[in-house]
Amino acid sequence: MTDKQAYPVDPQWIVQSEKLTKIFGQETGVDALTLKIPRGTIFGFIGPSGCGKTTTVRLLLGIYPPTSGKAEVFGHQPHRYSQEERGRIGYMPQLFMLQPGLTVWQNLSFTASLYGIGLRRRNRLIELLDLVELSGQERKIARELSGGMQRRLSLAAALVHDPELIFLDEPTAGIDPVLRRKFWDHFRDLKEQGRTLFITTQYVGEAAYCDYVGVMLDGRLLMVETPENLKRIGIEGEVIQLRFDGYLSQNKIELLRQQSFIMDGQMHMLDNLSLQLIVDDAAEALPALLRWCEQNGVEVQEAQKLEPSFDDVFVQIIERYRNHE
Amino acid sequence: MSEFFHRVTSLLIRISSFISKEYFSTVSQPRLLGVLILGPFLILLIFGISYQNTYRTLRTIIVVSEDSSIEASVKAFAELPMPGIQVTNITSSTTGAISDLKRQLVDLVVIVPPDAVQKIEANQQAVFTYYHQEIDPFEVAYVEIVAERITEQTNRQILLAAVEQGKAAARTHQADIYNLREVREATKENDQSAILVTDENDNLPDLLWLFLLFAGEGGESGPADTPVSYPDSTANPIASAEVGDDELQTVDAQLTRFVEMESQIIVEPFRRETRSLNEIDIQPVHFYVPAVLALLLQHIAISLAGLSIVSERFAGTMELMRAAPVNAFEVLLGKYLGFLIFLGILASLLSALIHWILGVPFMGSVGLYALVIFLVTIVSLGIGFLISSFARSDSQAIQFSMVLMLASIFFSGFFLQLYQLRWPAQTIAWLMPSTYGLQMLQDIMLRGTQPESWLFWVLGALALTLFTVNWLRLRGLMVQT
Repeated sequence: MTDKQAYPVDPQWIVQSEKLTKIFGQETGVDALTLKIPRGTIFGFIGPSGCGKTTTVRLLLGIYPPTSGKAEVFGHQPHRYSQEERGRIGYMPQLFMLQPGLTVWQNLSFTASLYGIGLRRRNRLIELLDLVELSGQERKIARELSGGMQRRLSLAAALVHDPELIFLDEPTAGIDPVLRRKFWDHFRDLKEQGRTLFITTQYVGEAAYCDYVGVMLDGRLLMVETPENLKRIGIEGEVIQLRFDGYLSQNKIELLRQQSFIMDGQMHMLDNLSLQLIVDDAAEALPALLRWCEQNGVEVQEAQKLEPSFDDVFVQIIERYRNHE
Repeated sequence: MSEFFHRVTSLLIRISSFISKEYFSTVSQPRLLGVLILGPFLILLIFGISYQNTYRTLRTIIVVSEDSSIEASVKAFAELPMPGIQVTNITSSTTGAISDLKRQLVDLVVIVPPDAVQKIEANQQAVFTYYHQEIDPFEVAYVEIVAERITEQTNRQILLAAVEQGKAAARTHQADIYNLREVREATKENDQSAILVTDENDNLPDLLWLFLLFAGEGGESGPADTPVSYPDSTANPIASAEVGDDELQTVDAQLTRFVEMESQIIVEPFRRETRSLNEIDIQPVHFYVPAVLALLLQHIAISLAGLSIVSERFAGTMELMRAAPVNAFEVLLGKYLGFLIFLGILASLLSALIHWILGVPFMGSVGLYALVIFLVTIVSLGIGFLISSFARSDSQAIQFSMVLMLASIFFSGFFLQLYQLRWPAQTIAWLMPSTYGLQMLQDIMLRGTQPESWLFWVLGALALTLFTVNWLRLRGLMVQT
């Protein structure tokens, strides 16, 4: 957990780790990961490919024992889970890992049996197939499904036993935007029902749907923040965009750059009539900015706070970290 | 109590997941089913229809020297029906005959020894030399048998001729005895003309002398035990009237018996007659069916199980198992049961087909038959799972399976009996379930007997050991390091 992390007061931690490390031969997969995840939240895990997201998931699932450090899920070390504890966890791996020779229905049924769900599972399976829009495909052999359909089937299989804690490793990869939105809606529903979701993704924009976002790079967790804070940290402030009625003279541009509400003079022209500037807090800076324009005879056509994309934020963070190194 | 019930129910459900998975994964492949059931059945059917339990006739050249004293006899002999050969030529050229053999124009060349008579007269065996160029061990053995039979038949023919000659001599000697007795009668009556005849018979033929010696000793000791020395006229017991009339009568009776006996019986006093304790006629295809069934079950079980864990490992499905509330014991037990059910159905179908369509007899207990099938299958699955846990790819697992199949064909007693193998190979043989299956299924199906109980115990112990080893191995695989 980083210092800037904004967790609720006295949370009930479902996942905790301290200096959790996994080394494969000469290569460090996860390096001293310290993390806390409160129950009933959506935790997004973002980072470039190969940064250690999947290894972290496997460590928390108990698939890998740690090389050093420790993790606790439900208060127990993952690689020593009891069968009952494993039954409280759902897992959707990054790759399709169901039975390629079985039908959609048989795969779901197999997973249900794997989690000890009795024969009265029919309605649950129908409901899940409906959620992942695979109704009508029950008799299709899994290996004959498209990549996107296989991901949907994997998601349904991960949810079949209605788990308390759900690890989803890139659940939306290869899914069309409409269905992706539907998935996230369902994830939020699950969160509302008290479930905790640990979701890795390469779609950085999906960080907006999460309660907390962890950014990982080269096996190290850089930060855990709310999406809002992440943007602030990424851009190091907030962005205001201005559009003027007429040209702004060079003198006035330099004068504006020297104003205290602009952070470190960070301002750049987009064209002759518009510019962007970085402020600490847009809500405070915007009235001061408009006041300065009025006092200096500058006609403002439009002024607004810009929401930078998470892609930009992510790129900023990663570049800054690498430059710092 | 309800907690215990819940745990047991969950355990059974988890095991059932693997039973159904393995079962449905296998039966969902109709081509595979066709290959597994129809393939072996059709092979057996074609084998049964096409197999002829006959042996070929060897095209043969007899080489006999032109200046040999027995050339005419050999040519006459060649006209007789001979077992397993057809004489295509009689020649004096050994080189030409061998050349024909090399060009595969003939299958056998028999060299008659040019000095046969001299050798025999010198109290030595004369040697027939047989040349062939067979490479198949079974064909080589067949040639050996044919050569043996030809030699035997030759010896038999010579013996028959000797006996016929002996009979002719015996008839002459009977006439001599008759004359002798008449002389004696005349002597008693002082008939000088008859006495003169006796002088002419002083030197009795050797054969008669031999018989006389027999008669003198009550026929208990033979010529080999009694040194025979040629009698001179003064020592002739008959001439000197040491042999009485009763003894002469006995000799005459024995000669009569000898003459009246069939020459064939004298030469071959015994003939063979073999009878099987089996109540039914076992056809060659029947003999091979239990072996094929055992081999087939072993191969399919090893292949299916061999692919099972290795594909879970490399397709990633093992990762889901590691994350799920399922342990190695449940996974393994479920897989064992799933494949056992499938292979049980397969074995039942094949058994029905071979019994009702191929007409293979089924003499023994169905229960024992099912037990053997069960044990052979479960041990084979154990071997397959062991291979699977060590194999690094699907193809490696299949390669192991094929190697075992090959080893089974050579070492299980499928076409070579186990006693023909040295002990290290026999040890390998007894590590393979097909060896047990082959012997036990043959006992049950064809002999209608119960296999020895130690075979069941060993198979059971192997099954248990393999399950334990596989369990420990899978446990290790399910915890990654």
